Amino acid sequence: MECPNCKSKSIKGYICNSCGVDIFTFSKSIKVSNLLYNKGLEKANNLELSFAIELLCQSIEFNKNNYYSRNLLGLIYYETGRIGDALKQWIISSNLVKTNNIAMSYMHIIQNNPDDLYSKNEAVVHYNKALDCLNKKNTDMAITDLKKAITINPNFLNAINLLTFCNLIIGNKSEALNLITKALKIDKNNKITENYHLTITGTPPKQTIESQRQKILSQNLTPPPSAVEPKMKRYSFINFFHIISFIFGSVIMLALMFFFIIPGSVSDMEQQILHSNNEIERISLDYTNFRVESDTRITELLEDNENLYNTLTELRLQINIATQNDRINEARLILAANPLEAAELLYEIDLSLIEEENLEEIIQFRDSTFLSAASSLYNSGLQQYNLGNFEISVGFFERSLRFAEAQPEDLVFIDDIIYFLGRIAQHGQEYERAASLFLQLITEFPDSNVFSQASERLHEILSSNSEQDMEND
Amino acid sequence: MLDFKTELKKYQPILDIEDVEENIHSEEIKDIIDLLQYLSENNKN
Repeated sequence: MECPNCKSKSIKGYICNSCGVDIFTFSKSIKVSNLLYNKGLEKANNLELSFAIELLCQSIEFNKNNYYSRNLLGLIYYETGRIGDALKQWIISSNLVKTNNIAMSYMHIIQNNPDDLYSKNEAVVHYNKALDCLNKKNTDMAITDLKKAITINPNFLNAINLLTFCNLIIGNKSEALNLITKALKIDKNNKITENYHLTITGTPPKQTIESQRQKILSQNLTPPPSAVEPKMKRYSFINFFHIISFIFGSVIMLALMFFFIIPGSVSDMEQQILHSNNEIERISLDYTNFRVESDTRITELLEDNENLYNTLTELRLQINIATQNDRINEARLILAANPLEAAELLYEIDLSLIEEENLEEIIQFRDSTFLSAASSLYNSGLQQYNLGNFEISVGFFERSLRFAEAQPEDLVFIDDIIYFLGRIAQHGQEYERAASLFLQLITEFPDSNVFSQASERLHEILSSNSEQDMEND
Repeated sequence: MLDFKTELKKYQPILDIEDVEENIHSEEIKDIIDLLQYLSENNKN
């Protein structure tokens, strides 16, 4: 046994010791290549050129040195207008095997007919141009070029198929069908052509049906029974039955829904409602508790606030009491030196804050201090009045009156003060004020020693007013 | 119905005779036998 690759006889098992190739696989590859070539040849004889091309290409893939496959492939390419591809295969084949190779004779024939070669190549050029135009969606130009290509080479299968396609685009179905017929004569069972036929007519071409039928018969299979149109009545009965079945099915479906699905849905919804109600109750309870807590807290805070307020009031009271006590003590201290200031201090105190046990004593002290201050101020006012310093005397008299109001029954000069204030007002032409003071004196102190003088002064004022009114009139 | 773009893809430019030589030189056909040889060389190494 020798290695099919390097022809060495040094073989170990299935491996060649010289080139290391797997002899079994190697031999198989060659056998497969040859088998594919034979099938391709059969297809080519049957004018099924597309299939033949496929098979021969596969053959070359298994064994690129299979020059038989290359020669046949080149021939088919030449027949269908693919000149360049044909030459390529023959050139490679002739390089593989230089003697007794039909590829050499093919190339000789071509070289001896250069016009034929170049005209067929021109067809290829037109085809490529047409393809370019179609890519740019220029169908009219493409059709023109394809027609030229087919005119030059009537067996140019690719051009015929492409022209068919262009006619389908522009809607020229009759021309497309003509081209399809032409293409199928060159290449039976061309898939692209069959597809176009199916597109136009809706059925595969007769040749395809014929070949399928032959295939079926050759496999000893019984042909399928021919379809028989059912009678109208039978068709109507089936339709009615279907309707009844549909209605029955619908009823069962509704029943199933009613008994199984809807209760389940209702139960789910009830559960949801129950859950929602529970949630609402919980939230209401929480809210109620919150309100109660809040109210309790507010009440507590209000109580605390009140307590604090009471405490504050108490503290303020105690402060006031303490302040008052301080005032009283201070008044006691300064009474001898400054009775007026002592009286001022005592004037501010609030007797309600004095403790019950001390109240009488404090009142006595205050009254005596006021008496002393009022007397002192009256004397000062009188002195100033006699000097004619009415403004200054008014100040003393009014201050004296203030202290005198505390104990009016003990102060015998209040009526005098009122009289003097009236006189000062009269002197200052404040007749209304003067009249008011004289009237007060007359009304409140009927036993006053200056009663008559006050009456006279009042009469004077009233008389002078009435005279003035008469003059004005 | 035929889809224009899909259908057009089935058509490829055909080799011009002027490009044959260049096409042969640029093509490196690998068949199964080349693959086997490549594997055997790798095994040897």
